[in-house]
Amino acid sequence: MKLGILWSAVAIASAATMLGGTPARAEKSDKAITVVLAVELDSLDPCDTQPAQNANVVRGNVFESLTRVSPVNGKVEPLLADSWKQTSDKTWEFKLKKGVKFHDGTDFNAAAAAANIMRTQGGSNFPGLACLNSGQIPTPVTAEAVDDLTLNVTTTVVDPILPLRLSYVDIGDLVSQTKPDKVLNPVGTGPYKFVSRKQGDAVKLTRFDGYWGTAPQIKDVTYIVRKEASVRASMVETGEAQIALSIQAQDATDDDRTVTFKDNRIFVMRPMTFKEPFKDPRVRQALSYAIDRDTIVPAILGITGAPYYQMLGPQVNAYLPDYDSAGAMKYDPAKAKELIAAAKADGHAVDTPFDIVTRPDILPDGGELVQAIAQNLREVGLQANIKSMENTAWREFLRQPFPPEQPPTLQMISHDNTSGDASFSFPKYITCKGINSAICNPEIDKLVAAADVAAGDERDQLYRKAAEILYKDGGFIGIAEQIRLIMLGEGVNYKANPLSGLEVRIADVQLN
Amino acid sequence: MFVSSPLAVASATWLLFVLVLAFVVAPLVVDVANHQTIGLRFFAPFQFDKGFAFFLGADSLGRPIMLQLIVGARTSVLIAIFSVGISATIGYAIGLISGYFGGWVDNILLRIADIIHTVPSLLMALVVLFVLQPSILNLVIVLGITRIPVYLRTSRTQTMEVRERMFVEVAKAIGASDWRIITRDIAPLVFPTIRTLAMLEVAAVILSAASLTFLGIGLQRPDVDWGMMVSDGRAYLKSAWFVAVFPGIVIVLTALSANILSNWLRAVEDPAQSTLFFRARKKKRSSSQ
Amino acid sequence: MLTYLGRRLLSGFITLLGVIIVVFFLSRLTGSPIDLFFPEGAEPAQIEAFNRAYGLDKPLIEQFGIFLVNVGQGDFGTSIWQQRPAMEAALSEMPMTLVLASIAMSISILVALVLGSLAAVYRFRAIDRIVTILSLMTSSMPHFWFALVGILIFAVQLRLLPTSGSNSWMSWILPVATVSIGPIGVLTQVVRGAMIDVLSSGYIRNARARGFSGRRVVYRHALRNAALPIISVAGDIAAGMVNGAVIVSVVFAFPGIGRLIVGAILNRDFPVLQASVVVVGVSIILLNLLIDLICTVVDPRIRLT
Repeated sequence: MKLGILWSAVAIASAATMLGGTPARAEKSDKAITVVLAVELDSLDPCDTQPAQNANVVRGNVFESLTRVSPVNGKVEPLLADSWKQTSDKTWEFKLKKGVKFHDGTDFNAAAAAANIMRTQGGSNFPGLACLNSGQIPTPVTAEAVDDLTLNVTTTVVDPILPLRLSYVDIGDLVSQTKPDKVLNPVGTGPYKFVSRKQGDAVKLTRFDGYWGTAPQIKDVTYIVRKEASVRASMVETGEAQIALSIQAQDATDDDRTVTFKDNRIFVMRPMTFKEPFKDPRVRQALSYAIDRDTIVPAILGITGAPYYQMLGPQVNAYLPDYDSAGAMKYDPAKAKELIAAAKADGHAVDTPFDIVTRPDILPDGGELVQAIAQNLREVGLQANIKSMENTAWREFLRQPFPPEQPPTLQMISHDNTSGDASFSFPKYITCKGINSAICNPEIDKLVAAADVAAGDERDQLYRKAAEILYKDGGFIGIAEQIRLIMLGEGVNYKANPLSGLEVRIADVQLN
Repeated sequence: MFVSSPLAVASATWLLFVLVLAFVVAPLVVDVANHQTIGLRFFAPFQFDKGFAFFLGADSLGRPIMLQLIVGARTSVLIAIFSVGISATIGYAIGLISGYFGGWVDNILLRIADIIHTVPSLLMALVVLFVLQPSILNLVIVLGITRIPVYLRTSRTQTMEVRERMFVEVAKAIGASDWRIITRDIAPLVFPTIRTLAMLEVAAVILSAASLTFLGIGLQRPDVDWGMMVSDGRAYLKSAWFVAVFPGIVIVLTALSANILSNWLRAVEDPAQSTLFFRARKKKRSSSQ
Repeated sequence: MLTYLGRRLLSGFITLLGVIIVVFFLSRLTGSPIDLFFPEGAEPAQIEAFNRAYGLDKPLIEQFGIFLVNVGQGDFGTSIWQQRPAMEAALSEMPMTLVLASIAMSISILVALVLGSLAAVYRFRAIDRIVTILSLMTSSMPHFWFALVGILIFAVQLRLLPTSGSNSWMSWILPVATVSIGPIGVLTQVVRGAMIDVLSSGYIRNARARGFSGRRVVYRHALRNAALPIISVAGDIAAGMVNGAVIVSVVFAFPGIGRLIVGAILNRDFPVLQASVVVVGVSIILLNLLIDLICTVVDPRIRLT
């Protein structure tokens, strides 16, 4: 009898802990998990962590950076750097964390940090080196170590968001940063160290016991690749993997095995404003009025998308909070036809056929969405042809120059901006000289140039003004906000956040 | 004999049916077939609620699968006929020349055939379709070129064998020109083998084209063929199996019919071979021997 | 014999050379690998330095000349995509494909021999018709469809087999089945046809008349003589397997040279592409040679011309 009461007490107590609050972090264990990805990693170098396929594996696990963007509030917070201050217009001083070690036992210090910042930018010291992270530092910066834990960074232009930029520079060990060869054996400061990589097969990481932060629960991680989305989902169902990234809506489960997150990734269209039929802004506006987002987006994307009208996500400072209710050009085919007719009356060749340039993998179920969009456009009288091509070819159409013999294009882009700042998007995409820009509006250029060197509220306001003009001018037309899915196996706990599209920190994964 | 072989009749009927659908019906239904109705996404098959066109259900954009199959038939048939036509004709002709003349002409042509055979066909397809646009014509060109070696070798071997026969010697002795001998005497004898091969190849080409479009190369909507339909449906195998399964069945049936018919053609020429088209009465005769 | 071998190897070498030339120029037509290694908006100076480092800035003919010289010394260059020697990448993927192809080929031949012989011996009876229909059906089925349905039924619904990968022996079942299904159909037909030809010929009736048991007749005598056409068709199919188990490697994520070639094409990795094509080409040429030699062993009447 007594035992019975005791047992019930235990039962009630454990039930209480299960129901209430977040469970306490589990201790270090010997458990191993397998993560299945959609695309294979192609570089282990810390200076190539910008694209998702590399970031998914190494960012936050093997490598860390001086600062990071908080997944909670989107602000820049310290990571390997404890604090920083701007000592003049163009100089910044960073105080680095003490006692951090690389996986090979060497110390993390300012010299290593400086070496990484310099190598990522390439230049004559590193002939033949092509770093994908170099795009995050558009104008050169110089970094030098003052002492072991103090780093000075000097920018060539006034750059109020330098600490944000440095969150994209991953830090590898000093020796690797002196060579122009790509790193094949990554050594970082993160909670996991690199074990092995077999091309076309698997990448293996294991827990680093000298990590400066809290030790993660999981010991070993294996990353494998399966191109087919349904195969990835099946693997989690059968227990062959514990986490599957980039699941499609049709494989999602209704329970908490499927986790959603938004990473400020927007599916947008970019008309070629220099060629007919898109020369007249009215035709470009008609593009937005022609598309029935409320019908096609939920039907085709399901839980992976929501109708959207802007270019940038809600966490970016250029987001216009009341645009959707006030100024958005929502579905109105009659209005679209009216605008097109008006442009035609003014002598514009609105019947010119154009190509919708897209990629088969642009977003999950993207092929169908583009076909639905094409039908919407044809219904208002525009002559759209779909051209789906592979990545490299698609990028050729994305970038300037746009040779005159190229047909007019409506480029489909899936653009993400997790930094919270529009300077990672606007200069490249909407200014006259922007490498991916198909629009040239002097007002926009002025506003963006001013915003780039401004700080705080003024910066945000300038970007917002530029965004308003951009949308009115039909430079970029938002279609859907993408919602990403991750599938978790039995007993796997992972709280997805806006950064999960890039970093999947195994330290944040708990097993029951 | 044809009528007493139900299997051959069935196959021929199916192929005829596909041809009629492809060339007569397809042009009439193209617009309806390609019209998307989001509200009808994955409309289940075997219901008449939305009319006859939707009897086999609708795909992920609400297009009627039955009509898509018909339009796809036109694409698949065109690709099959033209690419087989191209490769058979070229392979046949070059094989004749190569087999007849021998010597260094033969060597060079054979080497070229080997080269075409060894270059990965996927590479050829990717390049051709990158430099040119994805289209039915270019798919036909790629498939046509990559399959030439098969016909070339067969034609060449047969030519070499026929060349040694008496009547050719006689023709030469009379003073007939090479051209005449090739076209009048040798070619007609080689033709039946090529024809049989071509029929077999029709099935193989349908499958190859489907594989290329399945991998996403070669065709762009609104052009559609059966392979592309299977590819589009593969993400929905669990929820809407019919989107991928129906086109798959059609591919198998068509390839199968082509195979059966070519089997029948061979049986006509060599009755001992065939089991499908001849009754077991032959057995009685042989057992009495 | 030796002169024959020598001549075959020489012509094989010429073919290989031709293939290398064709692949070199064709692949360059697809564009440049720049886009994959640089972020959008990279400095022209950086791109130029990259091009110089990989020799991509020279005129095409000069690049080709350098390439030929290097190949002569056995150097196929370094993979830009995988950062290791191109030939090493190709040679590391080839064994899997060869193993897959060999297993699939062996199974196909065995099954085809059994079914085809059965069909030939019991000609015109039910078993013959069933076998013929089945083999026609399997040779008409698209690989990818069979693969997808296989995954759906066996891996997902029944949970009997893994969905993909190559870790356990169980994960080989679906890929091997997919690669063999077509050849089984074709080969069964060929075996059946050849066996029928042989079984109805004079010396077989002779053997039966002399009282040899049916099974002995079939296996010892008939099969030996039917072997020729079977072997040459099998050889053709084997070459096709090596060249194109691409679908299998894509759908099942099965390692192999097909997947490497597709990856190299998409990544514009010319060195790996060239090395892979050479490896495949050499395999096919050697395979053809092997088949011809086997044919002479089986049937001494054939003269190697």
